Amino acid sequence: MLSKLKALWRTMTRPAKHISLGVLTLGGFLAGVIFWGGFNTALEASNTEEFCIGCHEMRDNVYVELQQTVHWSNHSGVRATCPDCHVPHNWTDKIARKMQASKELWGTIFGTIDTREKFLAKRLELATHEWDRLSANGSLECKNCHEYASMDWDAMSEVARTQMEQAAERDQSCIDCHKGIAHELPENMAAASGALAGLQRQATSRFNPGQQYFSIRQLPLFTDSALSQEAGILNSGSVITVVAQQGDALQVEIDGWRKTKGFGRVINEEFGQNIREVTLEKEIATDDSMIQGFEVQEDPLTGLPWQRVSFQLWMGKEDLVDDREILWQEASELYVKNCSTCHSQPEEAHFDTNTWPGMWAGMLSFVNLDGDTQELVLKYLQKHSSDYSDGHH
Amino acid sequence: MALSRRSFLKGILGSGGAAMVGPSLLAPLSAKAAEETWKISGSHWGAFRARIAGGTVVEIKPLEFDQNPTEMIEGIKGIIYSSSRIRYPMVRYEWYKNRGKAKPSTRGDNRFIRVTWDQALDLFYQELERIQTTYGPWALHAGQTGWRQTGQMHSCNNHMQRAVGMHGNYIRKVGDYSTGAGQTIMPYVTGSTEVYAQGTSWPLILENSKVIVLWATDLAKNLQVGWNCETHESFDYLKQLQAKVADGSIRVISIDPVKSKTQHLLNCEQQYVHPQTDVAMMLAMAHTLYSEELHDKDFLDTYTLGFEDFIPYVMGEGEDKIAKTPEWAAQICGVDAERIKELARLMAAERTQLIFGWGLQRQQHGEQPYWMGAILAAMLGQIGLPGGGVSYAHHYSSIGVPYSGASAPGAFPLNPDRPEDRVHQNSDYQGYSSTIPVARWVDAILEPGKKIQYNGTTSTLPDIKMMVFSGNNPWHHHQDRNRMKRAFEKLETVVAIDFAWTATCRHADIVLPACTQFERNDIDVYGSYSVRGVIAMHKLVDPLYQSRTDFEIMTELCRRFDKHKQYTRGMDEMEWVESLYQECREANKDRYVMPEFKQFWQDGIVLFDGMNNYVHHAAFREDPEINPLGTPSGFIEIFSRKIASFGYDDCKGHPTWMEKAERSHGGPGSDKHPLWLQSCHPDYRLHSQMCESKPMRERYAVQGREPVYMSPQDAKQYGISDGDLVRVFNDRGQLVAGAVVSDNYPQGVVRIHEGAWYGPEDEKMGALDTYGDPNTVTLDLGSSKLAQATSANTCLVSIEKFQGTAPAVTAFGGPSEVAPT
Amino acid sequence: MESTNPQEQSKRSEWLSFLIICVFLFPILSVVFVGGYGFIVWMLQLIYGPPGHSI
Repeated sequence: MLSKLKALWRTMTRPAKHISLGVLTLGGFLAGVIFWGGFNTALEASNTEEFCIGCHEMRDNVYVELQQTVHWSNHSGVRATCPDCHVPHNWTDKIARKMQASKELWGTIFGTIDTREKFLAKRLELATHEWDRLSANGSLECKNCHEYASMDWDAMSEVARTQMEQAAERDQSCIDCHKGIAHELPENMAAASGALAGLQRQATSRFNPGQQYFSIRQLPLFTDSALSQEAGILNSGSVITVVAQQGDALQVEIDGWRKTKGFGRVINEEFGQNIREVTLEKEIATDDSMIQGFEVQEDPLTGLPWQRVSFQLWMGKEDLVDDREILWQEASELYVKNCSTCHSQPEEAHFDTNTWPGMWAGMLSFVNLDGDTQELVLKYLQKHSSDYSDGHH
Repeated sequence: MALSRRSFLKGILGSGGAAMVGPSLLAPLSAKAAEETWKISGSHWGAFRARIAGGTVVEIKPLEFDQNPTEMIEGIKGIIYSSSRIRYPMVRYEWYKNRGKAKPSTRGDNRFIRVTWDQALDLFYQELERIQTTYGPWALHAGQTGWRQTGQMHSCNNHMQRAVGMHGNYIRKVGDYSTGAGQTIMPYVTGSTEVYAQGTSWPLILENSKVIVLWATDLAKNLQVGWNCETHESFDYLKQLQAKVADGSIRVISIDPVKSKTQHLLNCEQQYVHPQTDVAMMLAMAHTLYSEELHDKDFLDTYTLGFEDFIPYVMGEGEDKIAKTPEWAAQICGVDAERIKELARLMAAERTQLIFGWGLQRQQHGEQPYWMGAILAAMLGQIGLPGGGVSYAHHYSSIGVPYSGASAPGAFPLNPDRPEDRVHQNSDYQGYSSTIPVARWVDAILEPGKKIQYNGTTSTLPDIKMMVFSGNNPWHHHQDRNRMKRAFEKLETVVAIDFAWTATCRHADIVLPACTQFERNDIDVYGSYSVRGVIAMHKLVDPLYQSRTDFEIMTELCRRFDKHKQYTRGMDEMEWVESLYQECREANKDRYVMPEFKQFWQDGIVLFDGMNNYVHHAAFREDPEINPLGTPSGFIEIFSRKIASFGYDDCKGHPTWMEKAERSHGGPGSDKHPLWLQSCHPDYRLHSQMCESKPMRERYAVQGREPVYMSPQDAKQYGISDGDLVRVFNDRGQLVAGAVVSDNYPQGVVRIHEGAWYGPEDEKMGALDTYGDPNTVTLDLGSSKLAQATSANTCLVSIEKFQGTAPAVTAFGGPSEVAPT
Repeated sequence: MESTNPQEQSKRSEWLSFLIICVFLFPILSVVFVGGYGFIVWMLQLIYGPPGHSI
């Protein structure tokens, strides 16, 4: 057997004696043409809806959901099928995506999501992959059909136009706002408050140690990487610095100031400013091994001593963004929109940081905001108050 | 046909405007006489059903849900069919002819010419354009807003400010005439405005309170009206309280110079106090609590700051070295020293709920009684307990009624959509403040560039050239008419949008007729704070005369600078109403099932059955660290270092007794004008709304004039009998009113309800007001450098029987129409 | 049929080699290379993040 293979190798590596160059080239050329045709046919076959829904995981879940949306049926009769959105049109990326599909093959074989329950449980993770991809390429697959330049602003409603023009100016990625446009949103996201759902769709999924991130909503903090021992609550719009990652957990560092009257459970962002960053459990707040304390200063406007502190805790990876401006922009819009109801709302810089909580509390009875959103808007107002603005009043 | 109707209307105007107009004559001619329907709507006075026949509102009856309707419901027809309705767009004659060269002294001469809608809106737009290009945003004040009519879609403030805001920037206000001092001081003390905060629920007060102190608050009078559609559920609890007073389980003490409507309703005790001296009385009560060690030291330690910096002032160890003993206070407030002690002991011994009204803070140093009230409550140590502590708003808009927790419908947006794309982007106020304290705009017109202290900052008053008012009547709510008149003569352009010829319209240059809330479709929350439901406001009849909805008026204004599409967002009236409903329905989906819009519109109302109870400041009491107050320290601030740091002489680091500019009962100025004029919220109107409703006015007016209430003693002293016409005057102005002599009033106190329409005899300075607007004689003075709020209740007057024949009332019926020449 | 002719023998193996190369080897190698390329790109994406704007 070995000798036969050796003979074959010899034949292959030496010039042909019996077959002419013409015949060889023609044969190779023809084989090449046939191969390329076959390759592409196979590739295309794997790029069809039928192929995609060949697996019941796709057919029974996402495919059914697609059929409820405008991408399936609409007045112009153009339909987007699975690969239009999910397979990159650029060749290299397409091939890479096809290789990536090996994971899906694995999944099919081992039944990773072979029931609706399993699928729902994994939906957020799967969806996050697609959102990350679309975020990174500026929603290229959407833009293959929908172009900002081709949009007729006048044909849009005022609301749509205002939003769209803003997005177009920054060539914003479609997926930033249009998550859940073709399939249902992951469960916890659909349940999220209307106000913050938009921000949650812009949450970061990639973390670098040493970098600062900002909370979209109130998030639990833990003493351990298993996220089992609760240590406190991180307020909406607060800053954390990532120290390390471990699985689904982030180790984060938080710096701030606290009053020394009481147990020191409330950590504020800055000295003398009641901008709440973290609310700690009593045991944690009073545990010197957990909380590193530094200098103490007296706040001249209340006479209360404040201490600078720093501590490290663990938290989940959800609902953090890497740019605080994203939060402020949303909060500012929420403020303007919700407060239009009664009066022309005071400008952000009309009050100082420590006056805002009281004023804000008085306005809350008239607006429909959940707790997370209230906290976020309050923090926005405090961080844009007269203490932080050069504006005159 | 239309022509004859117009001339008919002119005839009515000619005959003085008071003639009763048969409603059917004004009905749109297209309506069929036989048609009869019932429709539902809401108002500041409550929800109601209206019977429409032949295109006319013929009957109005309260909604069945409302068990305590106000008789003001009866006044609604009088609003729709009043002789004071603005029938068509009008421009002041002198201004129309001479524009910039118009003689200032002609302002208020009530001579107007009729123009078309297009002419009027063109003029409005040209004036906005002229002001923005000639001057800048500092010259335009469109920030003055008021109580508007109800309805979330058609809220006229929102429409006017959105439209004017799309054209350019303008001066805005901060604070309001009702609660300016209270809402400024309380954030420093308890960390919220208090005046607009939810209060402890009535069932908990009824269950837990042993003593209720009504400190200058008249619940039964003021709860008749609400910011949104009022439910009057509060009256159920007042009735229960009445029963508890009767069986002795709750003791209610009304501390008030006047026997109030509430006192009569509850049949409770009264404690008389001299006007404007409450702070002295409270300081003496603090003195008693402290010297008899009745104060709650633990509470003060745990929940407050600065008690040790305050108490020396009370005990006579402060700067003034005067101990604020009950004996000291008795000299000032007219309450017996022993009685003060007795009250302090009673409050310390029992679970005591303090309830303050707003009138107290509508006086000079109006910050002080509110602050001192909170300190008394802190010394009693019951803040955060059910039935204890202090409230500043139980007389307002269903506060204290158990709430549903549902979301209320939003409103037509007041702000231009972002990115803000104004025609004039200029936001350079050239050193002037872009926002000024609400009651200081007349100062600004009179003394532009003047720097005033306000809440820790310096405001530079802008040089206002043009003002726009929509559904807002400063010629009722601002103080000192003749001073206003001087200011208005300096204005180049005034635009007023309203449905009735208020005095503000009379003093305007361009007057645009809006329709009433009963002539448009809208949606409102039922119960501002209880959110008992959402109510449909069906259009009862088509807009009368040439009036239009604010939405339509402002859309047409925006069309003139090509912003109408942004303004409406491409939606019409019903689409807006539906979208507000849908948003509300969506917001409530996890809590309350709301029907589809069509069904809702047909039913007319959706009710929420949730009855949540609330204890004010309970969370703070439970854990002051995690639930701090919104004060700088997070605690109740008895002494505020922050206020002290401003260095104001009229609002120091802790509550202080300060003498007033004018005070009766032996105070400054009482030798010249001896009577204190109380100008509190009316019993038969909502501020100045409904004053023009003749059927309502006939119920209370005296010889066609606003009543002035006075004591039998004063009546005797000045030779006045019940039903006489009298002249009320001081150095600032004079008015005619009709005397009502009542032993509800003590000697030295007279009352004219604010909101009486101003009807000067002519446009001259100092002219006699023919109807009885109390603000003809009130003092225009900032409460202090802290709040710069209105001080309407710091006012002394003299009174005499009117000599000779009083001039006819000019307040109602609109202007004299002049033919253009 | 058995042929012992070495000439015939080498001609046969030449055609066989040619067919193997054309029909199996190179197509398989092509697929492996393309797949390998795709795999490497995928791995790179895992490290450097998903592809960005590439227009």
